[in-house]
Amino acid sequence: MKTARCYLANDTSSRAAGAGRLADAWSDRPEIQLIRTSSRGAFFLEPMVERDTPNGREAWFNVLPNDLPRIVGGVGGTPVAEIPFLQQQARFTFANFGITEPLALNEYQTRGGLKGLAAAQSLSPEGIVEALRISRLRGRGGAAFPVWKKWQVAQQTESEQKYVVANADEGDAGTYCDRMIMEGDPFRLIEGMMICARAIGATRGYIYCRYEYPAAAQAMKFSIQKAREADLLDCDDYPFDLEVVTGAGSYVCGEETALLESLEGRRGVVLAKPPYPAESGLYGKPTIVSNVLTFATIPNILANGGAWHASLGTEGSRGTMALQIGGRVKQPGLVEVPFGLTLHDVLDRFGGGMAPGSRFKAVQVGGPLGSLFPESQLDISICYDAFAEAGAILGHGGIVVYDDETNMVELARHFMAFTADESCGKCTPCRIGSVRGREILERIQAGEGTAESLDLLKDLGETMKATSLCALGGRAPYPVLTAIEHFPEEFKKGLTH
Amino acid sequence: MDQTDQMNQSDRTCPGRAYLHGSAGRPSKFCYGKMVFSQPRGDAVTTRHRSKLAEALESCRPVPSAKPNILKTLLAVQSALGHVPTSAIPQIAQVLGVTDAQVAGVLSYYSDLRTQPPGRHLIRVCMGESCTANHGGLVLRAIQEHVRVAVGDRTPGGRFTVEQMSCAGNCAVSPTVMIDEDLCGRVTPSDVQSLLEPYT
Repeated sequence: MKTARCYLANDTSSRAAGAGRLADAWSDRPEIQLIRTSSRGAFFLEPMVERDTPNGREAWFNVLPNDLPRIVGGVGGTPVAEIPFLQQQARFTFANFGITEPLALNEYQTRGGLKGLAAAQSLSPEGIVEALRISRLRGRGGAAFPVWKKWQVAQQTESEQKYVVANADEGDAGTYCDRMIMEGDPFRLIEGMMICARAIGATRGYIYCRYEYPAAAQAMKFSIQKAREADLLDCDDYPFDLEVVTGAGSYVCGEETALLESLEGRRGVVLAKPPYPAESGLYGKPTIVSNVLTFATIPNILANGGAWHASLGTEGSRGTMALQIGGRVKQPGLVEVPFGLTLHDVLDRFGGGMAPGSRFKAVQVGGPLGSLFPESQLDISICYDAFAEAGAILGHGGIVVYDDETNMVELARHFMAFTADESCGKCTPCRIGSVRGREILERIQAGEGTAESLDLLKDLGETMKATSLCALGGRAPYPVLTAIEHFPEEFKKGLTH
Repeated sequence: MDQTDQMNQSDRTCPGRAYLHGSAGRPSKFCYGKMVFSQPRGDAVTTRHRSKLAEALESCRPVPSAKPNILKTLLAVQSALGHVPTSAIPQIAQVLGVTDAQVAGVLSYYSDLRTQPPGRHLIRVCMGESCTANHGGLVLRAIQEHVRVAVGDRTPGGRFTVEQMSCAGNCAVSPTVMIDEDLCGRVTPSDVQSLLEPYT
């Protein structure tokens, strides 16, 4: 019997959708050979099984164990190249997803991996920073700071020891692209960090991975070991080594100074800046802290040139963004597109509209600190400038859609309670203000709000915005205030007259 | 309900900072934030854990000139013991060459470090925005009704501990329930019984 060569994703979300059960059920079936790949990010189709055909891969969606005969017989498959969700994307950073075996270094190389590193090796440290300046890449973690400026500071700061740190503390609810990169294309992150190390003169790197991502930490550890054994990490006699460090469940450790405190083993408390970590970071040494997605974007920039990257996107937002669509949409998943599509386009073309039986109420962009948008504001362009102008953030690219069953007062309380739980305690307005904010909202929920409650909440919000050191306190009022702005009647119901 | 479970129940009602005087021969204890300090509950706990603790601490003992890493050490202790007993704080501090207060400070800061032993299986229900939008709250309620325990507590007999988590990063196949290291997606309240069955 001829064995069908099939592909099944092995990332956490695909397994959570049932990929593991399929693999177990088919483990002793001779008619199929299963290759475990990363996921293409079309999670609404997972578990998705692909199969080689003379015309490229075909796919079967939402597969159950008893679908095996159909797949082996080649009945009812869809050519992968014709899946609209994937067809309309511009995949660069996520080009390998769904195609390669994540932990196979040779496959990474065959698919163009390590070309960015080779290009960096032929450049001076200043040349690498110049390529990034031309690319106009901005940090993808949320702050959107120009990457080259940060690297230049670290490069120009004299020190016998420098560090490069990948921020893999992906705490924004609604985001999962860092997890996908670490589980699905780990060598891309390693390559990006190696390029950074060469640019700034760092010899040691850390990947600070959140506690909730055990599979990602495992994949990174395995890949680092593999890279070490292949003499990749210290190739060209440039000494460099990497280590994975695990966090322990603190949202604020996604802020760079808190992250570095945590990396040194202390409480993850935010520090005042300056000095910036690029001048004085880990153990007081120059340190570049960048998001996983930022590092993963860099190999392509070096391989294809900064101008290539700058040719994508909008004036202030060059390149592509990994948008992660979740909540009450029909087609949740990861989408890589150039900046500049409207929010409406993304929800419509990729999200596929609302989940069956539900009606749109609001969408939140940028995680738990992001603003809420009602239906009337969906024509906003997905780029840093348009969002800044609207007083919103793109953050790490999380998009969560809420349906009309959502109680906005409860949602606002949820956000304040989240901040109260996660505040590091350094700034009083965040530490105390979030608790007071939650209490006001609980009174409104109980129908015991007074005429002043909403004014008090707004005043509290303005104080937190103006007087918090980091984005947790500074941004926490936005989802609450935008909920009040767009759905005032729901809040007024809880006020006594 | 054994004594440990009774203690867990009363811990939950601890206000932000308060001294509690145990009744009927229970040791007195106080809590600060989420962390509960209590006297060691007899030698049974410490004897069982002593060698594992020593082993974990030995692997984290800083080499001369290296800086001690409290968080890494506490994670290693938790990985060996399942939790970090507060009675171990002085020993941890001594090995690392830091103060008890520094160790206690880190231990109380991180929500994934636990000072009480969890049940045999840890159920974590995601309360992230995508899971909430997809009615993860109903899943949490169904789990609580099924195992009859409050969030943060351990079931009598110690089979399960139920907790909430902020986000599992599984937003595209939400609602999410994590049992030990197994992540389950698209969970509905009616799935709960069959989902928990294999975990004995």
